[in-house]
Amino acid sequence: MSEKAKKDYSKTYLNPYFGGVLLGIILILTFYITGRGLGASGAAKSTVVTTIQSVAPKYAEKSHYVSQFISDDNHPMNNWLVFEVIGVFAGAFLSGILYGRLKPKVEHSPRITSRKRLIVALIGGMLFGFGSQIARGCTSGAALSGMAVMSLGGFITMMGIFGSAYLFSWTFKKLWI
Amino acid sequence: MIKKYFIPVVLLVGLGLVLVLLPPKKSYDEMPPEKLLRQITSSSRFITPDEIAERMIEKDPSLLLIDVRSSDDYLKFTLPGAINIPFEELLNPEQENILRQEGMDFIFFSNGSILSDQAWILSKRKGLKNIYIMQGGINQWFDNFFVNTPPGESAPASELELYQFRKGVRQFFTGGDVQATPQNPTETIQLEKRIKKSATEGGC
Amino acid sequence: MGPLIPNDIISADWNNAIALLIGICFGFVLEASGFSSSRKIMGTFFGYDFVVLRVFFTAAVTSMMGILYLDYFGWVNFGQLYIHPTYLMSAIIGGVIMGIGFALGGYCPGTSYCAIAIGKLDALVYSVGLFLGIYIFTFAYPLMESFYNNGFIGYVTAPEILGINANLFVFIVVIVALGMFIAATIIQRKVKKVEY
Repeated sequence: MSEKAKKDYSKTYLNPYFGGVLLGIILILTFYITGRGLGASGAAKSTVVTTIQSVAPKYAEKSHYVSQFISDDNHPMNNWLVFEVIGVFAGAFLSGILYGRLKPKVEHSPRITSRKRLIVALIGGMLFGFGSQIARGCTSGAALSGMAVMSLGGFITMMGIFGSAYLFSWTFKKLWI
Repeated sequence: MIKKYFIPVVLLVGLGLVLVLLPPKKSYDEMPPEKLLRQITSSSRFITPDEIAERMIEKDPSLLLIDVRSSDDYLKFTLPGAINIPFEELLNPEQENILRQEGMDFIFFSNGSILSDQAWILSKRKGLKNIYIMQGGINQWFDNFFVNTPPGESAPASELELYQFRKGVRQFFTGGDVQATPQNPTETIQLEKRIKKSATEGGC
Repeated sequence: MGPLIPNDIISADWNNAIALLIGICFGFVLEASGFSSSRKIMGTFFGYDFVVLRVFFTAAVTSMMGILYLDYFGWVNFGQLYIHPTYLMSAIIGGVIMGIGFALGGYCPGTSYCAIAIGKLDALVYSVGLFLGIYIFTFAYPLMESFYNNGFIGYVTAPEILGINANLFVFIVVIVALGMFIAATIIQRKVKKVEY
């Protein structure tokens, strides 16, 4: 009996077009069932609102922005996006197990250190979080779901994100390749 | 080029072409007949002139009177603050936008109840909400407030109260003068046609 | 007749459970397509891996056509679907800032969640950055409030503004997407391969 070598699927990914069709079908189903699209940054926003509310409730009420999302009869975390994001975590975890990709690491280009990558990731996240609130959405919410219903705002945001990312990624080329 | 993608690409472009070449959809936005029947048989759509007058005196901003008669009739005489949407123009998309404003109650009236009722049925077919009918129309309005016969001496107190109320309404609206002049219709409506309110929640 | 929950065909109590299910499918497809790796995502911008372009536009085209077909056959009432509102200045400026963040961080919120799920520490740091960024925004909001609410055009769709038929618009997007896929394949062949 020879030992079958365990095949390494960790670099195997779905065919991108197939993945895109699946994603499109998921979007269609989402709209069909719930009438709304997907989202991601909204859950981060809910977390921030909840944190602010529990740590500094008076500030939360005074703040023009945060007070919009607080209501007496509904906890801000009890919203559609938060549940969806929990599902995203679970689904990605499942896929990670299936493909054998579960591995703690810091992914970075060989030309920079891990530490630098982490710092840059933090700054990138801050910028993205800030921008997502201005544009009222991120790539999943505004761009993807917006494009599914041909929303003008969705298209504009998507072009803004990808256009500016193209420009700036060449400035920061060393971070990646 | 990659041959294995040939079929999916053809399928994609084909579906896109079919979509473009589809004949335009007939959409009716209809209310199912059973629902319409229920609404017709319940009389919840009627509002009496007394109630309307009371709301007008209280300057209720959510009230909008709509005269569904022809524009000639409207210009000769109409109720205070009423705008004119002639019956024939009810299906006009511009007029429909007026009636789709949220948070407003629209009261159709005509000389009696028949034309306004027909207008009501039409609007219901279009799925419009918050549409009511002034019961008895202008004729009833006049009867209540201007003909207003005082009740006899043996009448119950409530009738007497009603009589006084109606007298007050007449004074409020006319200050002595019987005829009410039609408002300039263009002033009373502020429309934001572009902003369609979304019924579903959403966002990221 | 959809959408199901706003029309009470399915009770609204199911909403959160359905959100969870949809999220699981979404997360699975994202991770399986490789969106949990920041270097793979950034490949679109440098030409060595166009997965983002391919998945994104295929999904957009599929969903656009799917929804329009469903609407045509009366299965879905398009007017009841949530359309992302258009605030002109906010959309552009927000998009540009997000693009910078993307170029630095290599993730967007959705993909960062996927990456966290498989253990990427840089994605974890990125999400912390997200929270901080949103927090800073709440501070800066009073200064930005007028700008934030400026330029509201409405919950409009692109074909409405352009004045063309929605179906024609989708067809044009299909053709454009196909063109981009072909260009991407050609470019990817010519670019130096990167190990990640």
